[in-house]
Formats: sequence, C-alpha cells, structure tokens
Amino acid sequence: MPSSNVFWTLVKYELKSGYMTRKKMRKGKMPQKIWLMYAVLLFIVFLCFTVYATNQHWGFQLRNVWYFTLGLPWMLFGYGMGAIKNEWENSTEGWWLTLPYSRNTLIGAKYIAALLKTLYILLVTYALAIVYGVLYGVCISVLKGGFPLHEVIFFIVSGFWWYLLLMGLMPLMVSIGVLVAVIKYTNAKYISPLIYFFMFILGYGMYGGLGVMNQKHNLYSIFSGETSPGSSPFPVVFFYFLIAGWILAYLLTRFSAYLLKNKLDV
Amino acid sequence: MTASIVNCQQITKRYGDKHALDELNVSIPENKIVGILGPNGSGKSTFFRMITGLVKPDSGEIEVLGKRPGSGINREIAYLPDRARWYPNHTVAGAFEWAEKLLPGFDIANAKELADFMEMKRDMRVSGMSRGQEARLMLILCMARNVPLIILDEPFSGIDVISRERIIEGMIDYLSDRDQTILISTHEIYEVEGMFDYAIFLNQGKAILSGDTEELRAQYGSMHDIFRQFYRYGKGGF
Amino acid sequence: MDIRQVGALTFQLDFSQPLYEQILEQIRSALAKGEIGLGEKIPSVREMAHALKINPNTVMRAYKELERDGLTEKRRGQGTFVTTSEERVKTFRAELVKEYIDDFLNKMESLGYSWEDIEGYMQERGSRRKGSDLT
Repeated sequence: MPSSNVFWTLVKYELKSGYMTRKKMRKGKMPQKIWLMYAVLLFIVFLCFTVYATNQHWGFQLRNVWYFTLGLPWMLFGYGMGAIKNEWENSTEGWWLTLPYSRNTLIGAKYIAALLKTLYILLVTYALAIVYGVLYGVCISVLKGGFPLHEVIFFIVSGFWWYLLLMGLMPLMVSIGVLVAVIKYTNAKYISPLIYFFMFILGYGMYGGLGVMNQKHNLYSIFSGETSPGSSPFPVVFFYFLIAGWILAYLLTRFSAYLLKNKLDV
Repeated sequence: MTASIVNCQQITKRYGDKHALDELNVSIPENKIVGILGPNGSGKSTFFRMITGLVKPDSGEIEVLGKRPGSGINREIAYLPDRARWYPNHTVAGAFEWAEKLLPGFDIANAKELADFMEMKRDMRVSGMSRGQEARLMLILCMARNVPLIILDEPFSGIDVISRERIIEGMIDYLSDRDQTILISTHEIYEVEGMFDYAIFLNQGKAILSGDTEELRAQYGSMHDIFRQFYRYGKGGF
Repeated sequence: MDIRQVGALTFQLDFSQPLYEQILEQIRSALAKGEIGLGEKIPSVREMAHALKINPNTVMRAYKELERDGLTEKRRGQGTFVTTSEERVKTFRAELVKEYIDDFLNKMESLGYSWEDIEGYMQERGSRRKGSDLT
C-alpha cells in the first residue's frame, strides 16, 4: 500500500463520515431534514425583513448584510475540532490511533479533509448569498419597479473580498481547532487556556487590524457602504500576516501529531 | 522453549498515584491462544495499550515481535480496543472495504466467510445494530487479518450469550490452524477457559501467575478456580 | 462438569483437570467398551474442538497420542479412523486389564495386605457372586 494512497483514502473516509456521531444521535439532536427546513424558513424571513427594511427607508443597504457573517471564522475553527472529537465521541479512537500509519499521516488526513469541508461550506454559503442578493433584487423590482443592479453587484463584490479573507484564514483556524481538540486527550491539557488566550488575541488582532490598517478604505467601510468595493480593502502587509498564518498552521498541525504520538492520555 | 512474541521487563505505568502496571514482567509465547486474566483495573487494558504503542511506560522495557511498539509494528497487530465501537455510518460491507484499504493483511474472503458464519448481513448498518452484532463485526475485522499477533480486549463483555457462543465457535474454527498468537483479556472466565493454551493472571499491575493451562490445571485446578482463589483475598470487587 | 455430545461420543469435561487427559481417557474407554467400532471414523480435531469449545491444540494432543498407541489411524484426506485391527483392540483391552489389576494390587499392598490375603478376599468375593447368581 503506497503511503500517498493511504493518505487520500483516509481523507476520503473523513469526508464521507457524517456530522452525526453516536453521542449526538443518542441525545436526539435534530435530524438533518428538519434542520434544513428551519434554515430555509429563516432564509425567507430574513429576505422579507431586509426587503421591508429597504421599503421603510431605514437607510438599509444590501451589503450591510455581510455584518451578520463576521462570526464565520469561528465556525471554521469548529470544523477542525469536530474532526478529532468525533473519534472519541464515537468510541472509535482506539481503531484510529492504532492504524499503522504515522501520526503525521493520521492528523494530516483529518486536517486536509476538514479544510476541504470548510472550503465546501464557504463556497455553498457564498452561492447562497448570491441567490439571496438576486432574490432581494427581484423583490425590490416588484415593489418599486426596476432591478437594483448596482446594489446587488456591490453586495456580491463586497462578499468576494470577505470570502477571500476567510479562505486565507481557513488553514490557521482549522489547525487551531485540531490542536484544541487534540490537547483535550493528551497530558498537555493544561495548555488549553493558553491556546484560548492566544486565539482571543489573534481574533482581536484580526478584527481590529481590518479596520486600523487602512482607515479610509477597509472591509468595514465596504460593508457599511461608505466606500466602493471596487478595489481591495486589504493593505499588502495583511497578506504577509496571512502567509505567516499558513506557516503557523503547518507547525501547529505537526505539533498536534507530536502530542498524539507522545503525550496521549488514554 | 518457544520464542516469545511480547516481552516486558519491569514495566511501570502510573496514572496520578495509582499504579496501572507495577514492575510487570511478562513473556508471552508465540502461536498460542493466551488468556490475560484479572479483575477490572488489574492492568489488562493498559498492558494492551502499551503493546500497541498508545501508552508509553514510565519505566521498563517492552518488545513486541522483537521491536519497540509504535505505528510501524502495528502493521502486524490486529487490536480490538477495550469498549470500542465501530463507525456508526458504515455498513458491514463498508467496514470490510475500510479494513481492506487501511488494515494490512486484511483478507476479505476470510471476513465474508466469518460474516456468514456469524450471521451478519452485508447491508446492515452499524447504527442499527445490537451491541452483540456490533461486537461480532469488530471481531471479524480483527480475526480476518493475516498478522502474527491478535489482541482482543474484553471481547465478550456486554454481549448476549448467543453472540458469545457464536464468537467462541468462530474463533476456534478460524484461528486454530494458523500461526498466530492471540491475546484475549477477560474477567468472565468460565465459558471461555477451554480456549486458552496459556494463561497469565494479573492483579494490581503485576503478573501473579502464568503458565500452560493444562499444567496449571494439573497443579491448581481450573482457571476459574484459580481466579476465584486469587481475587477472593484481593482488594478487587469480589 | 459439562456433558457434551460429539457424534457417537459423549464427553464429560472437568476444567479443574488437564483436558487432554480426559479426552484421551474417554475416547480410549469408548474404544475398549466397543462404543465405537473397528474402522469407524472419529470426529475431526476441528469438530471436536468446536463441539467441546476447547482449544484445538488440546484435542490434537490427545489424537496424536491415540495414533501413537496405534488405536487410531489417519487416512490422507479422509480423517481419523479407529484401527481396523481387532488384534490391536484386544491387546489394548489386555493392557487395560493389566493396568486395572496393577492399580488394585498397589492399593491393597499399600494397605498392608499380602498376596495370600488378597487371594482369600478374591475367592470369598467369587463364591458370593456365584451364590447370588444362583438365586
């Protein structure tokens, strides 16, 4: 069995493994169908509400909607964590950890699969946002006559910048998620608070940095409608940070593998 | 004297101030069905986790198949972990496919034969199985591997009598004529003791008695008797 | 103690004694009593192990000893059979007789009885037995 083959087999199984663990099933969490129904309902309510807001002349602009998605980076983090936690919640960790492959392979496969899953989620949510934008435009054109082309395009382009940033952050967020989950099952538990503190600083730095680095034209001013989304809201230095984040992501993933190899607490 | 497949010298493992293994010395002979016997908390699972490299000893030396435990040597070990479950989204056929791709030495023809014998339908999903059915599946995944060492940690606990009998018969049929060493830990000895060639009794992290089961019978009586004698006076929950 | 049936044979296994000896003894006695006839097939090691739920190595050990004694023979591809030699079973019965008598004599001697004493007891027992036959 060539090792690269095993790696992608592991990735494939990771992608196929469902969101539902045995523990969640026992707790009677909502089945996916019902969850989906609620999501669709929420989508419609939200659409109606924003259309209503525009009609009431509350100064609402379509791209303000992006403010609601500022929490997305934390979801990426959750995907990294879930990849590891599911093994323990399913009581399959013994099988997983005694597979005859290096810890780097095992963790690496989980990491890559989690990245692919988050990428998928980002693409799906962005596509949904576009659908939402178009539906909004249609509603407005019915009510007022004339499709608000400009507003919808600005909305989609603003989202593009935001999603570009999310994809750049994704490798780091997922690797932190993996590490936080791994730490829980090792003798390194005591560094958990440290990691959370580190994340808090990182989050604070990111959200603050987005506004501070270029005060005249940034992501927030695009979302609020103060500046046009026609040009990149990120100063060059921000990309250096992102690259540093990717390197850090690699190191953290290696560190997770090291912990699983040497500090496992079972 | 046959060669030994697992060799432990003065192994100690502590959790907090409790000794899971306490200067354990054990040598396990090759190509035998070996019972690792002792009450809960006597160190059986920790011992197995050490063989598979999940737990590292605080002190002492351990050799498995002549090497140090770790992911390299796990190619040659089939291990049923203690209280393990299987991936709930798999079917029997799906689990076999998983094993074929990821577990070296997994013989799918053999697995199918065992599945027929143990009455496991291929399209049954793990999330819909009884505990006994799930246990049978996990056991097949271990037994159908052509590896020199098979380790089964409490394979009978929490399983209905019918499943247990099926499992024992399956083991006797399929594992007997192979060159494999099988370690089975259990604290329910009575029904299974006839299977063992060799037995090791553990108590509080130490091996207190070991030997060929036939010789032990001649000297002390049944494994069940030995077990009762030892642990009646021990601190365990008897 | 469990009683288990394997084909025509019945076994009583006591786990507090070596199992191989019990299997050996019980097959031998079935042979001597004629419970299994000359040339009959006996269960395979696997069948026996399966039915008795014991380690096949244990069964194997007993079978090897039966073969060594010439009481059974392996036929290639067909399994294990009781010897077809009437002579062999006869000698085996004779051996058993000798064994039982030795055993009896040893016990009597250990109680301090002389050969004459034993002879006397045997004659007394013999005539009593004849007497009871007449009635």
